[in-house]
Order: sequence, then structure tokens, then C-alpha cells
Amino acid sequence: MTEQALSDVRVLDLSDNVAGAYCARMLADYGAEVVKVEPPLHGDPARRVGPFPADLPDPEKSGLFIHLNGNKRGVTLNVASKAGRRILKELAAGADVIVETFSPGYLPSLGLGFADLRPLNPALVMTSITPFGQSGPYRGYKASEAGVFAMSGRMHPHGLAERAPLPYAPDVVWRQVGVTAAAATVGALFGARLQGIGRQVDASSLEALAGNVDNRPLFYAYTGVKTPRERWPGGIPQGAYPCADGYVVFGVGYDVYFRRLCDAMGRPDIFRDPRWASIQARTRNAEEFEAIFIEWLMQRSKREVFELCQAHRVMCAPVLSFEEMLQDPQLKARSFFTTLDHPGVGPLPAPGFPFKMTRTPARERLPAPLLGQHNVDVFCKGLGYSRAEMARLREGGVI
Amino acid sequence: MSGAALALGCEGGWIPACAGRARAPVLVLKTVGPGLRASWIPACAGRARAPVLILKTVGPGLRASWIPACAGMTEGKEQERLPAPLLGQHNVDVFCEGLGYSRAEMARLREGGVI
Repeated sequence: MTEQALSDVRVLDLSDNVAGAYCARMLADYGAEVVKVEPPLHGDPARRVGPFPADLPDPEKSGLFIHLNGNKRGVTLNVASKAGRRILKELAAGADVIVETFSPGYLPSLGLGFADLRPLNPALVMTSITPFGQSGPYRGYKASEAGVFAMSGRMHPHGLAERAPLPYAPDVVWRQVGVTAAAATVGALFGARLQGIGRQVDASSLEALAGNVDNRPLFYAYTGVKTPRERWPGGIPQGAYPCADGYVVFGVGYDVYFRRLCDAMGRPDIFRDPRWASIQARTRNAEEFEAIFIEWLMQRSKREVFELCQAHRVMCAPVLSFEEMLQDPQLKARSFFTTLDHPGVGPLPAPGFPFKMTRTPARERLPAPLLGQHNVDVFCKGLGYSRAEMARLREGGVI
Repeated sequence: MSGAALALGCEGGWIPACAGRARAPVLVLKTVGPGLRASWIPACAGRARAPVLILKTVGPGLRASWIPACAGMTEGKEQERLPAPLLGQHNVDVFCEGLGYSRAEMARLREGGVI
């Protein structure tokens, strides 16, 4: 079988829920041998999150867990138990990377922190993903992704002045954090291999967002002007507008794009009108323009508007439902969607990989593991435990 | 920024990447136009090659510090970035020193609107 870009990288995924699992999933997709380590009995809490086939909850059929944990093998291990700590150290000694999402201080309290494991494996990379980082006054605080987003400064100007600020769509923040952590992990791994020195990647979700997903924090730093919660002042039309069968999104600011839009509308006269001849003028006279614009849009479908505007090189996109997205010709042409054949749910279409790589592309090698599916592989064949020892560990609640 | 000031900035420093191997002083820091360019560390050649990337504008002057990638993420040492380049700031570095173009060739490229 063709080797992949990360085929010789061994990863222990001690994370739960989304951000850490997505980080480890990205490594797994490009060939890393990832072992997901879950608590015995119930496993990762993501197993209890839907969607489930026929809407019947089953920890072996969670769509969220299956999507986040494909290409990984899975074991159970109670890392808080004495035997569990010993086994984790044995696993860590042979790993290149550990991804974990415990509260800061928890693993060190078990003797499993980076400082404890590093003597066993000097080149080990430990990627620790938390809401606020391993240090600072909030290090032990809990946060939802909306909470992290709220504290990043980005939520405050997001929305309209007369309404409450808006969060991002669910899971966007955690996956952004996961991607950031995955990039940092590969960088740390590269350094560890080059120099023989491991690192702990302290991935703070807040820091992955604060100033790193938006340039508005720069406005205050550069100008001293506080960003109000209002329509983005970059000219019109910006954002979603109604059309005959839904909404279309525009990002038209500069004159060149506005002129093209007017041409697409068959109304080049609009750009010549002093009310709309500059960004500032268009912002001042937005309502008058939008009355004309929306009337034009309402006579066309979103697909018609999209194709017409793209033909005039205007940045325009239809707002697609998930059902429509599944049928989108661009994604189909690039074979984006894959089929996941999981023992719990059978073959189902699934989103593919977020980028393509020549020669050694990402591929589905393994379905997400059933709880403890690879205990024998990893503990017996990998670490040399006997079946009798395994039975004792199971009876003791260690695995 | 004078060479003396740069030397002061680098004084007494060692390259963490070489810890456990030969500990080597930073040797290569160079003024390019209004900014600074860091190059590879010859002392580490043949061992780990570690980029010196840590040059930061501080007030009206410049300050050099150590290698964050080598200092490690673990220790939480200061991680600094190069400031964004001025337009074409590193043309000479990249085209002349990196690719071997002469100054005369650079001048022709500039006149021809290539660079």
C-alpha cells in the first residue's frame, strides 16, 4: 500500500469532543497511525452526540464521532488508574505525538504531564488544546465555543447594532482550533525530527481566534477607533440578499466590482450615477440602490444570479442548504464526497478531505473505531500484554 | 542601526538548537536596507540547521533575540516574527545572494519592470 505523507507518525489521541479529535483526524487522514484513547464504558462524549441513523441514539452510531474519528484505531484506558498510568507511559514512549484536551494540570497531577513523559521520549510532541491555554488566570475555566468566540473580541461587532451579537455557526470555532493545532503539531513534529527535541504545543482556543480570524482588532490598534456592531463599512452590496428562490451573497466593495455588477444587471448607468459612484457614496445611499438591486434579484433564481455575476467576474455565491451542497457540481466534479462504510451505520456519504495532495492523497483507510475495538491489537500485539493480563485489566476497570 | 549595536544585541547568546551538540554563537545577522535579514547559522551546518528569524523593530531601532522554534514551544519563551517586508525589501537577498544574480542583472530586471 502506498505510503502517505505522515505514514511513519504515531499519534495518541487522548482528546474528546471536537477540537482535539479534528486535529488528530487531520493527521490520520494524511497517514499518521492514530490510536484514539477513550475512557472505558462510555468512551468519548462525542459518541452521545448525533446525528444517529433513524434518530436512535447509539454510542456506536454517532455521526459526529464517526466523522471526527475516521482513520483512527481505538482503545479504552482509564488513565487515572495506577495501571492505566503505567500503560499510557508505555504507549507514550513509542509515540511521536500526543493530542490531549484535559484541563491544564490534570495530566501532570497523574504524573502524565509533558515534563513527566519527556524523559521517556525526548522527541515527543504533546499538543494540549484548551479554551484558554496552559497558563494565565483563566487556564482552568470552562468555555463553550460561543464563549471563546465572545471573548475573542470578534463577536462584539458581529451583527446589527440594535440586536444581540451573533455567534459563529456551531463547530466552526472548534474546527478552526483543531486546524490550528494540527498545523502547530506538524511544525513541532518537524522540529522534533530535525533537532531531536520534543515540544509541548500549548494551543489556546482563545488565541487561535483573537485577532487570527479577522482583521478588525487591527482597526483599534492602528486608528484608536472602536469597531461598532454594524454593517461592514466596505461598500455595498455586502452579505446576503433575497432572490426568487432563496438568498445570494455578495462581496462587492471596490469600484471595479461594482461597475461589473452594474454591467451584470444590464444597468451600467447606475455606476455613473453620483449617488453610487464611489464606496462612500454607495454607503450613504445604500437603501436607494438596494431597492433597485433587490427588485432585480427577485426576478431571478440564485443559480441564475450566481452564473450571471460570475460571468461578469463579480464575487457572488448562492446560499446553499446542505441538501443543495451535496448536489453541488463543483464538489461533485472534484469527488469531494466519500462513502464511509462503518460497522455501526453501514455505508453512508460523508464530507471528504479539506484539501487535496498529489502523490499521497488523504484517503479513508479505517472507519471510526468501535469502543475499545483495537484493545487487543494495541495492548497485546503492541505492548506485549497477555490475554490473561487483559482480562484482569478489564475486570479492574482499567480498559 | 550600526554593526556595533547588532553585536550588542547578540552578545552572549547561544543557539538552543545546538544544545546537546556544539553550542555555537550566532554569527550571521546582516543589515539590508532599512531592515534586517537573518540567515542560516553556519555553526550549525552539518548538524541541525536552524533559522535565525528573530528580528523585531523596537522604537526607532532594532533588536535581535533568539530562535523560538529552537527554544521550543514548551518553555513559553517569547516568540517574535519578522515585521512585514517593505515592498521589495529582500530583492537583493533573494535574487543576488539566493539565486546568484549580479547587481547589474538586478538593475536590468528593475528597468524592465520584472522586479
